[in-house]
Amino acid sequence: MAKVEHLITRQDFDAFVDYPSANARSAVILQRLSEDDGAFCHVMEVANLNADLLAAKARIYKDKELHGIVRRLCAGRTKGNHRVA
Amino acid sequence: MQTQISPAELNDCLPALNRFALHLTKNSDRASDLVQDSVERALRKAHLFDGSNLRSWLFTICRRVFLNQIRSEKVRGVAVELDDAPQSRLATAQTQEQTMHYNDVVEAFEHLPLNDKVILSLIVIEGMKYEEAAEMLDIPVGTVRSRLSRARSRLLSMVGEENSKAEGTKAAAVM
Repeated sequence: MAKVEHLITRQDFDAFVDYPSANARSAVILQRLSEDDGAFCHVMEVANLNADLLAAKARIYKDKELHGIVRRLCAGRTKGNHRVA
Repeated sequence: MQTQISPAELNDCLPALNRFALHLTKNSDRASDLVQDSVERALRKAHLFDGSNLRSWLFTICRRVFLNQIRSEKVRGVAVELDDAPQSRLATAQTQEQTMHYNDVVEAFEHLPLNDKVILSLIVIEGMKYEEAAEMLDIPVGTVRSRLSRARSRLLSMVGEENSKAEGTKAAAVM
């Protein structure tokens, strides 16, 4: 029987970084990461970027317009939709 | 009168001494080291052994060696394997290069289009799920994924440009 090749896109790798445990394709992605140096580098790059952005939260939210939009959207998680165009 | 310690008698005491050392140190490697140090000390000081109870004498030596180790560790600190060391102890202060990279990321982020900033903030900083973000922004999940991917690529290329600019400046300064 022919080996089934799983198609994994760049966005799948990104999703794996964002939610590693919740990702249904984690096993396939981990297998690919162990074989593909390019994919591994991409995942590390995205993970580092995520860490940098998270660490820079306070500085990023000095942008009042952005902070206002994010606050309204996050409030919409529990209090209904306050959509921003 | 000098008392000899018989090797056979010493051997008989070793399992119990090992258990005692393990009880004191709570670590098998350190316990083995402690037993070795204790036996070495016992052999060096064999002339002080009164010949009555070797086991009890060895235990006394073991406890003293252990207490001495504790005292010296308080002064020097404990040596641990790199893999066993707590991450917090391994952390070092940010280097100038790390700080510059961090500044580059923040600066590049400021130059992104608002849509990119919003999607990155929701997913990366606020930890929102793709489905939640899609619902909030009233767009399909696939669009969230592609928008996020584009935002990341843009940000990474901007950070890359910043780095090459910095490299160019460094090179010019050297010349």
